[in-house]
Amino acid sequence: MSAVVVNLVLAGTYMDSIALMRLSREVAGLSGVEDAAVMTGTPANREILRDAGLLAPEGETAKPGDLILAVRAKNESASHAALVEAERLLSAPRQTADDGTSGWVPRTLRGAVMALPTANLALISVPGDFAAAEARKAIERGLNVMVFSDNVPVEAEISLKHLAAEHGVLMMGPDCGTAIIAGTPIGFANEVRRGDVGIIGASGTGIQEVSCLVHRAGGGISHAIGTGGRDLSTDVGGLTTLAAMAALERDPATKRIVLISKPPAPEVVARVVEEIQRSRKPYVVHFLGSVAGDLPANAQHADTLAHAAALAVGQDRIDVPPANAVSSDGQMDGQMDGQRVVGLYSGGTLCGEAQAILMGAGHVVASNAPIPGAGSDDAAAAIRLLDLGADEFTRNRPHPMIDPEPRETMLRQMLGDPTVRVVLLDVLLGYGAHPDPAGGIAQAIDASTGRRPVVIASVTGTEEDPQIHSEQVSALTRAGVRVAPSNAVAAEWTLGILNSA
Amino acid sequence: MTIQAQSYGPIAGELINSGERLTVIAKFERSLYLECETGGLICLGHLVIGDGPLNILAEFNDRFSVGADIEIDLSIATPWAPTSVNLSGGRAKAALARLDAGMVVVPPRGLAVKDETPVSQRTDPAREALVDWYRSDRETLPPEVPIRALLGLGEGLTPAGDDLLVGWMLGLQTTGQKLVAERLYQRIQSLAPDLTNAISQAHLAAGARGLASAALHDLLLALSGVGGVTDALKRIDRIGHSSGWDALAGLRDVLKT
Repeated sequence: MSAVVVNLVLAGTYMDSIALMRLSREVAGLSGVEDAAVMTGTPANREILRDAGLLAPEGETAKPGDLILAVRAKNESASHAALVEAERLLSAPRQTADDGTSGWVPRTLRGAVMALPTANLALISVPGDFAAAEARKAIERGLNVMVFSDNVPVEAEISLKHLAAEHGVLMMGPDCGTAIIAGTPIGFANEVRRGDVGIIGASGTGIQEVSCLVHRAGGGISHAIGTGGRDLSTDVGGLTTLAAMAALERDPATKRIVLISKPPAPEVVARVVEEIQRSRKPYVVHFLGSVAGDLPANAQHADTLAHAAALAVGQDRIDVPPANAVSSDGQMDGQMDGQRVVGLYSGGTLCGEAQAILMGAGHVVASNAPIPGAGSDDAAAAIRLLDLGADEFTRNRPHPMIDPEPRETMLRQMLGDPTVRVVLLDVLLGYGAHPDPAGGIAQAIDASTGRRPVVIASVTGTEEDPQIHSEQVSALTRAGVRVAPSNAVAAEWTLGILNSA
Repeated sequence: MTIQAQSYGPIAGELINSGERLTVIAKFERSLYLECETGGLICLGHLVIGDGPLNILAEFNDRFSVGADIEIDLSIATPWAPTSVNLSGGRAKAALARLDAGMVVVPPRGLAVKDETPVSQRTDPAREALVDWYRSDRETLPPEVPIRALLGLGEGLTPAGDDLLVGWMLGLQTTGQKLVAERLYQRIQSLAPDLTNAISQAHLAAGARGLASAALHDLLLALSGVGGVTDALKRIDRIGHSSGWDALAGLRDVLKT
């Protein structure tokens, strides 16, 4: 059966190019669709569509101010369904705005506070150049602030954190992607039960991994406070971490506190340790890649994020694989003869944790986001672990947790690369994340032919997340992915394979 | 509904002061495009979009839908105008060197890099034809073929080909080639109504007057030696999907020629 090409022309419709590209990609990914594009109807663009085999007679008549939705599908019904879905996606933002009770969405902080005078937290997500000004306004209004935006200069961060201290509020961020405040997930966060474990983290995916593992072990979270990745640097001096420690100390619902961070500055660690010593609550401390140092009697050191979660719920270990799962004893031979390990991570901390575990076993690791001791990125490295959420991969495109397509493209390349023995992945679920991240991975694996590397993944999420943890694990398992119970175990399994080679 | 503006660009100011009725013709996440009775266009945007010749920056809510009438009060607004920059003669070479050094630090995208996308495949021969015209025949109108190939080429509100032409005109104005810029726009103006959308035509008309987004003018200033090129390029990187880089590609074509 030959392909069907259909066009829908929307007269006098303007959209910006980012929205157009996103829509094109979403429609192209629909079932039965071979290719799709959404372009303005200029003669030059009609020629591009014609050359791509996407222009139908309706599209030929489009004017420069019109929008052409072009779909090439396997059959009539798939093409029709794709156009219907495209129209729905096009109208979705307008529906969202119109569905509000007042039909009005505040566009300024002042307007938002007028609409919700009891609010005590502002989430700032604007381009970095403007984030500091908005955060300052919010703090001066007495609001706690979570700055989701990145590219905020460190001088502005320090100034805002001092201002927050003066006003007695918390300033989370900048570049703070995850928080759970009084049971409300903010940013990229998971649906976890409320409980007595407080988390302070200079790492979004680190908070997600620990909070999900605590939840899956039967525990719960009182608050999870993101501090921003630079908070424990020498320049910032742990201002938010210290403020968060004080806040959780006062919070009667918090009985124990987990403190996690990417590698911190030693002098700041000393200040934090002093504060732990003063606390009446037990602490679990995990500083990525660090060995157990001198901690006060009320604190325990955790080797991994999973270990931190286990200690928080009073156990030694909670990420033990099921008895029939593959393990680190070398039984998981790949089909490829290659020796390389490639990690394609959407979570920076999870990428860092894998680096720490593999380096801890004596391996040389290269990464675009190297932790101390790791080398800079090298495409030919024997162990190359990539943080695909880093700036170089996300400039003007969504984070891989939102749009996993670029990672799936890289996965397809790795699956066909005979030098690769293991591909390591993290799959992050929860609010803000893609609705079916496992689906795209499974599709990429299903489409691969011949011998392929072992694919090992961990899934950070809960049964209560919109994507449903067990369903995502099942989809990956069906595709032949070895699903580890934690990111740390995924790295340990990789070690097992390397040791058996 | 009257909106209190905080700043306004030169073309937007002229249109507001003419007292014409303004109607919303397009709505985006952070901006609205308003059409005057005589056809001129204004971009009413939140502060984050930054200054530009067509822009009026203000705080406003998104109650307005396409077809709504809006009044704008400029009484307390600050006029924005770019700082004049002269990159003529030997300064062009120095500017090009600064630009290329900056593009090592801030990786370019869009038409500022060589690639094999359908858009690039079509723009490359057109750019070569424009360079040939500028080198050897600039006293005449540019040939129709490359302009026809570029206008309306690419996705989005201001197609990449149009952005490239804005960059060309900005480059010509800045390097002291005002008459050449006028000839280029004469050709663009004669073809654009059939080949690209009305919003992009308004930006092309601004480009003909040597006016573009504040980020591009900041870059020109940095290329003249005032301010950091890297920071300016980072701001360029944030314009649209690749609009800033597409315009920059046109500017670079002029500087290197």
